Amino acid sequence: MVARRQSGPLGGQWAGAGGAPVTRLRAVDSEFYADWDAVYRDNIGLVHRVMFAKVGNRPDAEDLTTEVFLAALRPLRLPASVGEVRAYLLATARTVLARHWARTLGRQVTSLTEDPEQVPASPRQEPTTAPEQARQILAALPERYRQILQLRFLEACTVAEAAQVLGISVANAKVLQHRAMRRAADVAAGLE
Amino acid sequence: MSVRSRTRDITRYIEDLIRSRRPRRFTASEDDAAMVRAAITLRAARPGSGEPTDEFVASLHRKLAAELDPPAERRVAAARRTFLRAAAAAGGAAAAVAAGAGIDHAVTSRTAPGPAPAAGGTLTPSHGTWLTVAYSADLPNGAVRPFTASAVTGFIERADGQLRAVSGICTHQGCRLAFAARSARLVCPCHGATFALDGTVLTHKLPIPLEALPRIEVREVGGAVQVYTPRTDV
Repeated sequence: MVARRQSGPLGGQWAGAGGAPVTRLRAVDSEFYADWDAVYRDNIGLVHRVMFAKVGNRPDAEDLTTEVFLAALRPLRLPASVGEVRAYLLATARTVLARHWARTLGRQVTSLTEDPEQVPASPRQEPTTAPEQARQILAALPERYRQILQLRFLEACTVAEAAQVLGISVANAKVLQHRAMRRAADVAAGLE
Repeated sequence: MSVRSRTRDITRYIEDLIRSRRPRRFTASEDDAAMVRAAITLRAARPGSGEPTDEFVASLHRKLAAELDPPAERRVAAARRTFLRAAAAAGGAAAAVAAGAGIDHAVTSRTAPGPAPAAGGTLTPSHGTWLTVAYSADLPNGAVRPFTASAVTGFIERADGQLRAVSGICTHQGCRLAFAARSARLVCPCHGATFALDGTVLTHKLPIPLEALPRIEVREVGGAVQVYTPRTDV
């Protein structure tokens, strides 16, 4: 899906949507995007994953991803290197995310780091440490707390389904989940 | 705010995250923010959940193409030229019909206007006349045509059998809008504002509110599509 060309004259072979490159290109340091379409196809997954990891729900992740590309693509001067474009997209994403929290909860709940070390080099690379952090949070919780959060967040159970698995009433499952969330927040704060 | 309603806000927010619904905004305390942060970490760990859907990738691509692709605008410009030649050929006869039949704005029943846009209203020239800008046959259902008639330029659409017309000039700084066929919207080349074909504002990045496009009255008489425009001979 990655459309790239070697540094050199324009008019090289390009990949179509979702297709393999027409000619197999050697991986080189100086990879360029020639047009917005190439920028989009190569980075839509990355930007969406980054946003999802920071807002945790699809409607907001889609809106913010849209905002990033609408704001970033028009002023972009192409051709530009893959590294430059990605740094610019993520800088835009950082601003868009900060604005999102300011207008929804009034607090910067999550943010995108400015540390270039944390900027994923490849779109395939995991953009966040979420799974590892989630594992650490769950591991630090008492058994019942861990179970209810595991069922609801990772296994997508409804409250009723989780209550049934745990052999408790729906009302008790709600209380258990709320207490578990409070504890998880404390644990997460301790991990940072 | 009471403790109970605060608990309800954060509980609902977390429930929305779990079900992947759009969470409702509320004024969060530091404790709320910490819980939301932990909930996001847990939710994002659900396998595969961060991948965009194919549908979203395709729809955002269409949206960006409508705003960024010069080829789409060139095609529309070419279509406009072809169309205008046809309209010019028809224009003489139409003007004769308009003058000879003495069509009167005040007593002529016009095509019922569609739902009113948020602002913009309908173009109401002090001295107006009906001008033919297309033949009915050129506007099958679903078609969109640019037109230029005396002082007015715009777009006519036939949707669900009904004709409607809007101004083709951006309400921000007067740039001429282009029709992006793929997204069926009007796009401003100057600052990227987009309008629906009923004139309502769809998107813009301007720091000020943007008015809807004025609608233009349109009717069909004997196989001719006419718009109500200012008379330029007064």
